[in-house]
Amino acid sequence: MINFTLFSTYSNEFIQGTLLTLKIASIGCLIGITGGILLALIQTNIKGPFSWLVAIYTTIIRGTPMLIQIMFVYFLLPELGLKLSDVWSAIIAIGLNSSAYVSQIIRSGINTVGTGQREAAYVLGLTHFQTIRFIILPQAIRAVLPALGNELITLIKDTSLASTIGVMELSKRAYFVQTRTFDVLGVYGIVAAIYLVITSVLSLLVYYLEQRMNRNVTRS
Amino acid sequence: MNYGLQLLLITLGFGSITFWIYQRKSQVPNTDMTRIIVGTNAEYPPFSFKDHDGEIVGFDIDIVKEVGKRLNRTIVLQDMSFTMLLPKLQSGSLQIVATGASPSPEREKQVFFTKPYLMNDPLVIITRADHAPLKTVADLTGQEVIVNDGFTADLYLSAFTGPIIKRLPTVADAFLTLISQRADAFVSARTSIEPFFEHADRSKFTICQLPDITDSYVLLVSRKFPELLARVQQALDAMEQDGTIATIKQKWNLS
Repeated sequence: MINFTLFSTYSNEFIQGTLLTLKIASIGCLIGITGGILLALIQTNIKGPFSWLVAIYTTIIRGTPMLIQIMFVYFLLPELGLKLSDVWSAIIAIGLNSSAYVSQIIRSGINTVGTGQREAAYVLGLTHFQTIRFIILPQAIRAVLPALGNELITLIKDTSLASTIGVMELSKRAYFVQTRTFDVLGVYGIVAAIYLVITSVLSLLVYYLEQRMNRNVTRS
Repeated sequence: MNYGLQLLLITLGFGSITFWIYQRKSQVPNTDMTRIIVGTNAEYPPFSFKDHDGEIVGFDIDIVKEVGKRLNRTIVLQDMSFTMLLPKLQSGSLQIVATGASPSPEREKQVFFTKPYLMNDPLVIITRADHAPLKTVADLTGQEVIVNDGFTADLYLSAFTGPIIKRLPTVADAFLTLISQRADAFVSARTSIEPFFEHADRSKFTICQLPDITDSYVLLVSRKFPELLARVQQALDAMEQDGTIATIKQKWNLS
């Protein structure tokens, strides 16, 4: 199934590609989660134009292909005077895309926390920030952790779209090896295995986190 | 469901999949003696591209059609991406690939190559006219240089450590990136870039020829059809001798 001779001949390509994929995915994920939480908090806490803006943002981002978003960041931001490197263009596009999806996941989590808890927190003298930080968010994130894990796995596979602007991440490196060796299936076997390992490790991490966050929870 | 039943179902499932794959593998590839199935990626003018009516045309297409005529076989063209072309050629569902490919010993482990029917196509460095001209590989050191994935320019420049290489799929992608100042230069075979200047202003670019390297083009034949390779080569040799290849070259303005 996996061609080890091919792998050892081009191991440097596969390793470099994997490292860059991990870099794009991890920074993209960081932007996605922080951005997503912020957007979700705006949508659930502030009524009015801010909230509308977030709604428009998520509609646009979720309603257009990621491929086009990457092209947009890559070709149009320089026109506006902001020139990012290829890798950073991809990271920003993927991070922004992810933030839209994550925001909706987190928002659904926040909505599962009853209003009674919020009122109770205020009565106990917690500030608005403390309520969100210590009461709302921990419960919200715990509720949506499986969905969040799902989104992160999707994000890792979406990093392959960075190849369209020439970023030498894993799938572009795979294409590089293919054009040298003409062994398409051999290369795809190896690359599929690498993606599978990355996403499996991530799934395990999410599972472990789930266990940890649920250890003190009694279901009623 | 108990464990035994579950295991039985899983075994049956995997078993039938294995059987199905085995069946497919043992299937005889296309042995229809009246047709040759030819794969191409119609994105590379002048070798293979779609004209205004959506017909697949080009230098390679004319060559392979003439080969078909001489072998008394109908040519059936199938347009698909490079990553689809090769597995299909290897499995034998395509017999020939005609897409302006260049030979290399490493690639020859996977496919048969005919002898080149077009040679000595020089590589050129293209820069925007507002950029300092780049004339040699040494000039490319530290510059962002576009090449097309797997083309001779890519194979050639990848051996140097100086240029910062940026690999993009098509010539059109490369020019778009060059024009939008996201790279300093584009290196390609002269033949591949000529069609672009039918629509673009040549004076906006500086073009310099690289001295030590040229490109050549071959047809790929599936390793499942060694006898076809011999016959295609015979036809190509005959076409070279009676000047048919020269005529086709002229039609596409190639020398």
